Amino acid sequence: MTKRKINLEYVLPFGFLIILFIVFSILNGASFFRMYNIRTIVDSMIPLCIGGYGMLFVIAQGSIDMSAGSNLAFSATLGAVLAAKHGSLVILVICILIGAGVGFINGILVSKFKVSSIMATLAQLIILRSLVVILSKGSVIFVSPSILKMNRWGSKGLIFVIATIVAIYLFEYTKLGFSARSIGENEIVCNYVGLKTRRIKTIAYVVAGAFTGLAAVLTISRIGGVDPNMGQSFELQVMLAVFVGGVPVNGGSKSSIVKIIIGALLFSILQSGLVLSNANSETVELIQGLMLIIMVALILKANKMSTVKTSKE
Amino acid sequence: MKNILFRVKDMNKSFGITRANHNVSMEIRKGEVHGLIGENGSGKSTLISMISGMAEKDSGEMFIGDTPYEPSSPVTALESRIGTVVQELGLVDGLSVAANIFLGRMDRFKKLNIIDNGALYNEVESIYKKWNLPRINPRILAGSLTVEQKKIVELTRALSIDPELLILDEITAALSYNTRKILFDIMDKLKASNKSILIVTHDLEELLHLSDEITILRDGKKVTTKRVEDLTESSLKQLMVGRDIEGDYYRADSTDDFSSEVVLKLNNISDGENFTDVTLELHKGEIVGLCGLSDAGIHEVAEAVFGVRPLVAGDITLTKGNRKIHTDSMAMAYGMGYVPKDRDRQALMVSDSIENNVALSMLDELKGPFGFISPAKITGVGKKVIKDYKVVAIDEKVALASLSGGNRQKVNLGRWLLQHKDILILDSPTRGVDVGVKAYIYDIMKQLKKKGVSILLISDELPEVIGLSDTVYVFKNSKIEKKFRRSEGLTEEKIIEVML
Amino acid sequence: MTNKKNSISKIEKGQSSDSLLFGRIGLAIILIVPYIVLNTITDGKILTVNNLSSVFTSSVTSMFMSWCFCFLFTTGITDLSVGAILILAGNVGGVFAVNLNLGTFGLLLGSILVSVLLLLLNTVVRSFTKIPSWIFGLGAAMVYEAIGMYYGSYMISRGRQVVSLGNVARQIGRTPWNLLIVLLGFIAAYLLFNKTSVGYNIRALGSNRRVAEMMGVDVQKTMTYSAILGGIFLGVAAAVNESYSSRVMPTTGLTSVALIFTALAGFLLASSLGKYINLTLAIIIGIFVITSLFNVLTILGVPSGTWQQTVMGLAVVLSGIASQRKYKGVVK
Repeated sequence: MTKRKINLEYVLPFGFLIILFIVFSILNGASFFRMYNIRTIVDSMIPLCIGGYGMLFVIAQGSIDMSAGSNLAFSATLGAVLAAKHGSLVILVICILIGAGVGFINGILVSKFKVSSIMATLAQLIILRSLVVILSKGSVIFVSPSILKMNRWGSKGLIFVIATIVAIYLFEYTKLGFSARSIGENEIVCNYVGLKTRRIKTIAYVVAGAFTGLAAVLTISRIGGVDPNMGQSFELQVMLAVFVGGVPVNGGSKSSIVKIIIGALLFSILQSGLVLSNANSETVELIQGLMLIIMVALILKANKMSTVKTSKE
Repeated sequence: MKNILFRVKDMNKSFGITRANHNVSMEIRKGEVHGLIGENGSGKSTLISMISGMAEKDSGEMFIGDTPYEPSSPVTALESRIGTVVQELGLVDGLSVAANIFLGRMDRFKKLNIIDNGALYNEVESIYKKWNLPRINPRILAGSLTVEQKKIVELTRALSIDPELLILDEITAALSYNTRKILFDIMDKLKASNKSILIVTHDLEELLHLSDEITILRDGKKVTTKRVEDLTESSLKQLMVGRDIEGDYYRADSTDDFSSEVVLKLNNISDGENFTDVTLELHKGEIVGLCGLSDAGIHEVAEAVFGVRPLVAGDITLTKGNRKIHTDSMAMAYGMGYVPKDRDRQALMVSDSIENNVALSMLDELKGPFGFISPAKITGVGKKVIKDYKVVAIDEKVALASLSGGNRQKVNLGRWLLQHKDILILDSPTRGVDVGVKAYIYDIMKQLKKKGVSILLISDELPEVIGLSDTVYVFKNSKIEKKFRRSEGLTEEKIIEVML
Repeated sequence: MTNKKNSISKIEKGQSSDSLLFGRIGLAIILIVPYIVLNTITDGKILTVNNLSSVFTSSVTSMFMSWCFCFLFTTGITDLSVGAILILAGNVGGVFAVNLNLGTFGLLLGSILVSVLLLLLNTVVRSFTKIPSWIFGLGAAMVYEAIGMYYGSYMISRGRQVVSLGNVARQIGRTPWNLLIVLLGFIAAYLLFNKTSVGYNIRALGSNRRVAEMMGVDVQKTMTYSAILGGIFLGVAAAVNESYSSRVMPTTGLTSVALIFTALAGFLLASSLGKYINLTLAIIIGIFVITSLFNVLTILGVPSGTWQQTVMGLAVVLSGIASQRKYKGVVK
């Protein structure tokens, strides 16, 4: 009856992390370990984590949000249009609210109108992006320079820590998180114990949208304005981070925030390593695509093996 | 061995740790009806699945006459002229009736690689004619049929091969009186031409009436095979259960023993599809049993009461807190416990842990300040269910998939009992559990009744309803047909007469 | 007992042909009236032979892609790499047509070959890894886009661009040849989907996989056939697309997924019309209606690329809602 659980789903991402480390230190030598590079890695990791926290609520219940990148650009653009003159806190609040609003629409489409989440959010991906182009008239919008303060390490770190605590609290220790994971395990069962699954599904999208809005603010603060192309393929990077970190594609109770942090770190190291190795954009896309397929397949296998093990005990 | 049409020898099949079939052997004679009986979970369906090519055997042998028979799929079974009507399969709703009958064997209607629909429909019509089956338009979609019509289509599929052996798994319960008579004629016709039938039914009287020989299974093993002349209903029961079932298995009293306080009232409720105008009251400490044929709507009533199925008319009142739900609202869940019919699909997250499954039913109760749900509390309730309800499991973290059906059902029931709910809706609570767990569950129900808990018991097993209920409502054609009180003396005969 | 008897005899008559006829007439009115109204608003710019034929010409690719979905998506496979395959297949077809001097035949051959092979590859890898189809499709789309881009940058490094048809093999992308191709495509799709064992098996899997499997439908074989048939239609779509635009540029960052949107919206719309018209025919109507929508927007002076994209997204969402109207199960 001893509990010696070697959790393959945790071992896999860590193993992958070590391999990446070795490969890139050989390829890039000392430059990989320079402070500048480490900063780049952390810099790209923070928005991925924040986007990932939101996405996790949706993925845990077995759905997906393909609109994250467009939503990021949309909340940033609309936020900038509405509050360009105001201080950074106003922009922060407005962007989060807009993101949550978009999430609400996604949630209603999926839960009430039963459009499959991938269709609904893919459609949102184009709708929102075209609205961004219309709103910004295709050019960069600058906002009050005070926003740049948010990009300092202190404030950015603080935002990251608070967001992480909130995400962990909501996802791991509340009814919302528990229900979201349970819907991923078996939605019919959740209906039959009397959970209001429709409402929970909608709220999960709202939370996802709110975190995307927060990621939008961080992106604005880095460039001091809004570029209509910002956030392009952000949802893919987030998804890669989430799945590479070991979250099961069909969601369920094995989803966790820690896995997102590991995944985001992994993905950021991969990206900076590829940049340092002068890989061109097609190689980056090829590697990301292959990695997505391979990691998802491996984690599926690992999960299956661990269930078989418990049932044999 | 000349007169043996089909035999199985030492068949074995396990699902995880459950041995569904344990060295089962059986012989079916030519021109005879062979009955197969056993309680839920005794292995009947497993055996039939292996014979009809739907499940692979772990070990064992099968023979048609003297030729070894190894079906690799349901189609090879059909090619060997073994036709099966399975209990819970259904049809492909998106295809026509004719396509359902010949699915997987469509190539015979090819002309230049294109299916000749005319020939397909004609063939179906000629099968109807040959067996004198009620005609169901072969062109319409299977999804638009009633439960009975679907069964007829499944029967047509099984007969389309001129079966040597026809296997009927719980088919009669879904058929009306007229169609039953047609079925019995078909069985006679088959017998007369020296073909055989393997029939499974819960209706002991019918089984004794139809069969020439009966094989009894218990806990995956064969008990015995006997000629029907040597059996009676009570000896059959005894062989199935393995001990005298009267004793303390069910309630011994025959009084309506409950308080007059109404705790739940259904007032003319309809869901617009499965049941209409259902009115009934549940009193404190009362066990109300609902029974009816498979499409009578009893399971759907349970769903509506718990609030997972919207109503189109009527209302439901919960006396405590005076809560009421009207049409199209789903707010009732509060204050009740519900064990739905299909344990592994509707009740439990099979791949998740015991503690999570328990916690799922009481998230609001587990909430602390700021909505905080502590993992320690979740583990606590998991441990408590395991301890209080004698669940056999390593710990509360293991996946339910590793537990036997009976232990899963204990978790399913235990998580509601833990919350001391005043009202429990139990839909087929002993479906697919072994005899020991069954007795345990009945015992718990009797204790709960004594404590003043009210129970709505929905079950397809009449003895269970009769053995436990104070009041029985018999459903027919989506409506309450008749109400019986325990004190009037409940018998299966009385109830079946109303059901049909 | 009489009750049951009645219900049987009622169903014997089937869906009464009257209600079906009325449904079709109603549908025709719903579809035709807007054209007439809009035509009046735009001073008769819509219902001209020229305009309609240009709408038709730009719908042909999507029609074939949608027929591809008919075989692929019906079995429950949402493969989002179809757009990336369309680009790759078109370019290979172009190379066959121009560099190997095989003309239209080469264009079709190359496109179909690549589409069938890649969809088969997807099916094999999917069944081996058990990855959900949509996420596999995303990964595969990235890989295929990357391959297209490698080809593109290779050509640029040699001072050229990806293959252009010039004036080779341009007929199938234009009227009247494309009319013939659509007619042939429709007949093939109709027969294959409705009147062959493979078609029956594909529809059975889509309707109820478990029951179909129990009734003896060979899942692996059926999935393979659905990839092959889907691949053939996708290949024709790629060839028509290449022939119509002469040069198809590789894309990055999953922009190829947007290529399938018209086809997807049309397919979803067609599924919701399925009660009245056969799916394969409804696809022609659905795609034509959606393409007309953009045509009308352009005529009304809405610039393409912005609001038109918004409308496209809305069209997908609304078609999705329409096709799910009566669905009661769980949706992820």
